[in-house]
Amino acid sequence: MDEQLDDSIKRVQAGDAQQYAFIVGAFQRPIFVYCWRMLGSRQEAEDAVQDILVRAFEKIHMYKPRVSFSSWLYKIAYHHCLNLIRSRKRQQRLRLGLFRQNLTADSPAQAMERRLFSEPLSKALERLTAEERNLLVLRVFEEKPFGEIGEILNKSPDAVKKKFGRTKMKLQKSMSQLKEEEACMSCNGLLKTKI
Amino acid sequence: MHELQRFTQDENLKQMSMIDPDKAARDFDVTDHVMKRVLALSDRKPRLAARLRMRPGVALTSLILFVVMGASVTGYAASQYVELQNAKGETVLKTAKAEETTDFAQYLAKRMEPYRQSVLSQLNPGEYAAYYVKDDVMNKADANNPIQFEYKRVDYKSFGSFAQEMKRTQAPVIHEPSRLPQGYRFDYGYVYPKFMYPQMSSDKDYVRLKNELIKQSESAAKGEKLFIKKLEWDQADFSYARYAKGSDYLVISARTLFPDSKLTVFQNEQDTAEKVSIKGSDTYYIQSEPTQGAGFKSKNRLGWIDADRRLLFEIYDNSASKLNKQDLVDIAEDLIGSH
Repeated sequence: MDEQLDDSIKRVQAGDAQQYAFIVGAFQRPIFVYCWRMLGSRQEAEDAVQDILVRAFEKIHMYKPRVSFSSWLYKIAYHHCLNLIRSRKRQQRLRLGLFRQNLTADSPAQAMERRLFSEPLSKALERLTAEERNLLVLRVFEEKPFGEIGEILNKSPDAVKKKFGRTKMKLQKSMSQLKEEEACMSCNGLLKTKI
Repeated sequence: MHELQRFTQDENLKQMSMIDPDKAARDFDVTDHVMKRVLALSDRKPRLAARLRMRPGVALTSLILFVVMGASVTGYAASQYVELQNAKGETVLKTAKAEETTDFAQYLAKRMEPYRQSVLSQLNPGEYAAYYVKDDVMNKADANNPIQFEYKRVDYKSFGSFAQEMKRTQAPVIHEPSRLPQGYRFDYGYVYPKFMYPQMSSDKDYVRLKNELIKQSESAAKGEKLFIKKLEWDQADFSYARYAKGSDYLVISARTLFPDSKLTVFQNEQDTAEKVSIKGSDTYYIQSEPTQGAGFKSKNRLGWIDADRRLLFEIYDNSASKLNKQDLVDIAEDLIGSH
């Protein structure tokens, strides 16, 4: 696979665009799942994968085998998702400011579709920055070694390891807080019922 | 113990995922959508090797990109770069940071070199040839323009004989400067044949030549890879004069420009460029610090466009040279308006 991948990369760099189909075949599924986890939406992930793979084709002449092709591609995917998340946040702010009255909530089906993780984790993840969520997705769910994550983020493996440790602490803290808040809510409900 | 705890924590988090990636992505396939866009792009994408071979075979010490006016050019804004305008106020030359050579371009050049040497070994001085290498990797790099060109140059050891050759071949004329830095003497000069197919694959003669060489390669014995055709030439479009003092040297070159050419002169990132006016003409001057590894190796470079004769002049030295900006300006003063 690696040899065939190297050969395909060289051929595409040499101008044989048809060979890019092999690269698409090899990476579309892992990149799709990564995007889904980053963006929290299957539909957005489907569009994102296509844009990412086309973008990678446009830049493939700049790829140098100093890093693995997978890391190089994940780096493009990461920045693409980051841009989408940021622009989505900007739009949300704009929508909230201008059309507060018209804002409708997700339907239960949409909400379910958006929920990739079970409840405490899902809410705790929302409290993380996109960068922190990325780190968690790459390490925990994609099971990437710190060295490869470092290549994707342009950071040393040690720096990534430390940041991952801090992110996990933050996540655990959020999850504990959420559990406490939930317990408190039930407690209040109980008190109200009693009164 | 810590590792085990960490592993358990990660596994716990992982189990909170509500999608099974393998299952979720099993039927996911956007290959057709992506390839449709990719193939549309590849038709428009400029070929790497085409860019590298803008002016085949000319020994460029300072890489210059020739672009016909109106074509898009990468933008830049930093003050370390300069622009020169023509009489109408249009930018006709600018300096810009050199793009890093990709590993693939280096790989391609390395792969091509033995064939280039082989062609040169089969030519007599003054002969010019087109050649085709039966090599898929190289040819796919520039599928439309697979023909290479090589010239075995003739070095003229006296300025007189060099001047005669410039005249005979209607090459851009370099006048002998009257003021040279102390100790510098004429070393040698040569001209380079005018490139016959500037339109490359849009030129009927080029296509005919390409087909002829490819046909030869198809009927050749297995293992034969290099196919050469010597070309008749009588006009040159590049002149090169070198002056030397011990191991230091100074070069004056003149190159014919296509009509409406727009030039980008590449410089190292750490170099500084400035616009210098000499006898009413705008010139660019680039000063370099010695660099390690790849990059342009001149300490001083000065260049300008002679709009009347449609020529680009350049003066440059070696990286260890003791010359300064004024030495080059003195020579340029001699050459500008000397025709």
